[in-house]
Amino acid sequence: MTLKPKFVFDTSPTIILLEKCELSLQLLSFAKHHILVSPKRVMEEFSVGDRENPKPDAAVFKKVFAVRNAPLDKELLPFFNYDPSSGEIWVISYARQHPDFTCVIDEAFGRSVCNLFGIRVTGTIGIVKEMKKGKLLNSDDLKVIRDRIKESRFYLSRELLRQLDVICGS
Amino acid sequence: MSYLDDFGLSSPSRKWPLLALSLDDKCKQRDMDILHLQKVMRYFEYLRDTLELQYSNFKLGVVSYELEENLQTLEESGLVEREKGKYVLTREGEELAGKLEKAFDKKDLQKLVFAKQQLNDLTPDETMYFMYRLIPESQVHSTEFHRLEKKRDDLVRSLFLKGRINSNTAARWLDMSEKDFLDLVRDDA
Repeated sequence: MTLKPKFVFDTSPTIILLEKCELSLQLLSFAKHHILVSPKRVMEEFSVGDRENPKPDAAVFKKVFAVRNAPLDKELLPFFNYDPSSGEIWVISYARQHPDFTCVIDEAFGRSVCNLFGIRVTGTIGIVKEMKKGKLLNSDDLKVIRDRIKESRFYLSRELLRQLDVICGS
Repeated sequence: MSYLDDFGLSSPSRKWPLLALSLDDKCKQRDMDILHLQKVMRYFEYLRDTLELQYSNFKLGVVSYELEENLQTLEESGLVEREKGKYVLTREGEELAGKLEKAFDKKDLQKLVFAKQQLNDLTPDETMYFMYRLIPESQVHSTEFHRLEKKRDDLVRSLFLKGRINSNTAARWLDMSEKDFLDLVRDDA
């Protein structure tokens, strides 16, 4: 029996994939062969929305992600200036308690902390790549995803955007 | 007498800088100038939530004269030398640092690695601003903080882009929402 790959998501990848790229159906299919988890704090951040999207669909979020209320790993607090309010600290906490999970984090700082603790990490682009590999995205989907990610307010490094172009075949 | 006794290396003010100089920063460099050594030591203590060295809030922010004195002793002992104004380990210093690392607490080592990787390749202005914001009491006697505050948008944006702070901290340091901060970064990119 093959074990399902396990991912724990930070806020920006959930917003980009679910809201900006509108991939809820594809993510539901992806969730059949992968375990997708979100810490409660990430769901709270997702649910706040923003001016562009004041009412994010929390019901769809809960269908795609298993929301977990795991305890905070207090050893991580100094690395986050003793501030537990960001989603990343909860994502990394969860992965420290469940070492078979890969973190899905886009910001370089959170990825550095994962590397320090030897935790596997990927990001939005890595998940798009996995979904493409699983034939859940066609070339039209990939074109839309590339355009919307580039238009989104979230910052992805030039290297990540270059990888996105490679995956989306531009 | 052990190697620890020979050079007084059980003292944090000698052991920690020796170890810090043996670690790679983000650019795979090991050498450190005095400003970065000072700030890395204080950041390491911030991460440990300790104050084992004595620090003062001076013109350039938080500094430790105890550290400076002990660096001089390490230099006189032939464990550390200066190349182009930066501290590096001598061959004997490297050997001792290797022994120290094996006996060093693993969690502390992780914090020291993180402190060096966070700060050592930053510009002096980025490094000082990071520390002023991290430890606000170090702004008290500063001759630099107000100058740096005038360019805080650029400094904070650069610290974020280099992955030294997350968007949550960046937004807080700039007194704006996370969304507004991300718009600012995206518009520049």
